[in-house]
Amino acid sequence: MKIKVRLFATLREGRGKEQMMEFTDTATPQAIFDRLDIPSADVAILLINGFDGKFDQPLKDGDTVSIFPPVGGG
Amino acid sequence: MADSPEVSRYHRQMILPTMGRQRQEKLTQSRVLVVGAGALGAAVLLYLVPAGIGTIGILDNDELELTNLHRQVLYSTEDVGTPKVLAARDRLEKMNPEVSLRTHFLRLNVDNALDIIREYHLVIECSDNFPTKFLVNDACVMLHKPCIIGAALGFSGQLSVYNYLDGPTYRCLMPEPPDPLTLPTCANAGVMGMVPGIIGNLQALEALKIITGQSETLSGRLLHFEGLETNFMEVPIELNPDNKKIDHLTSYSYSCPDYLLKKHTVEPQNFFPTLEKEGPFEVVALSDDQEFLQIKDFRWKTIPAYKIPEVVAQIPEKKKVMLICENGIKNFEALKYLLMKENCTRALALKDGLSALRILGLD
Repeated sequence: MKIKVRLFATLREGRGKEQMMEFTDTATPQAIFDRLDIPSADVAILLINGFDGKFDQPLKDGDTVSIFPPVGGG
Repeated sequence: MADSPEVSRYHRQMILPTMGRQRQEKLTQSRVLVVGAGALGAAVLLYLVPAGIGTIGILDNDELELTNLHRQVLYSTEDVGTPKVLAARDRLEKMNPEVSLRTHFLRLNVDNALDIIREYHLVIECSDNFPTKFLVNDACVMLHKPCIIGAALGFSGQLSVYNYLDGPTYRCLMPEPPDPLTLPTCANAGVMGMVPGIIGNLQALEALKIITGQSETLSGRLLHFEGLETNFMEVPIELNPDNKKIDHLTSYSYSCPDYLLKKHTVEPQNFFPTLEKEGPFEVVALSDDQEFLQIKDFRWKTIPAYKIPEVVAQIPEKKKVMLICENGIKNFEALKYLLMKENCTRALALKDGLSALRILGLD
């Protein structure tokens, strides 16, 4: 299945901001983190199709996954 | 307010149909606390003071540094070395003497947060760290006050309104703070000055709307800004009612007992003997802006402090870890982190850094 992955803020460094990724039908957001080498601690907000998602939530073909790191500077 | 100079000062905002005299008076009667007088705080203050807020508290425990000036636009070069709260007050008093400015030259902690925040109607959170953001959120939940929390890093920024009416809290966005040492910050990852300027302006606008009772705020929506694309995105935040049930404050600043720190600290005169006789050591050099640290014939490639956990994890167990930096501040923080968070008892830190070795002529 194809998943659109959107990255924000510092997660874009070395990874780009948006990409289509191909996964097996049982993939979860954790598979995206693993493939893009994103430590779980770097994920502050995870959205699946614009709504709050879980790391182990099964994904569907055509889903859009948005990943935000913690932003705490001031 | 009739016939006073205030009428002229605020005329252009008072003639707005959504403002008017009554809402201007609400501003005059309001008390707002700005936590953090850095880049976000500077932008917030530069717009809220002229707008005529009655009382503004400015809370910050830092002195101005030269590296702050590119983004903390409230200050001048001559303010370097001055506490930010004092430099801010001097500048803002001239901008609008009608506003009562109160300074809090301290760091917010679990012992003082409730007493300070209790005095205000609304808190605008502009600090540069998660422990303070969570502390402000929790205190505001306990005291039933709204807070507007902002953040900026690199070319990105975000803000929302929390604990306003029946809206979500900051813990509904992020249940627990991330580990401070593992995070990129403005100090080690950089920030473009316009970004906190934009976020701070939006925080000031949200404050104005809350005080004057305008219905539509950012409550329940995180506004995320990507400066390189000039793109705003909204993230929905749903209320978890459990997050409203806070009955005490939690400190997320990790502290370490003095005896333990002392045991793991190497006096400058003992640095080279320790390296030679008590090893084998892997030296970990910390710096945000220097690529190498050098002394005698030694030259160590540096890493930023937030990479400490991953770098130390890769050092073989049989080796001890010697943390060094230029002036002893960063390696001390890293030592505390490793001792308290990672239970890494093989770590030592050089007291006062390489600069102390140079002062002793050991270079």
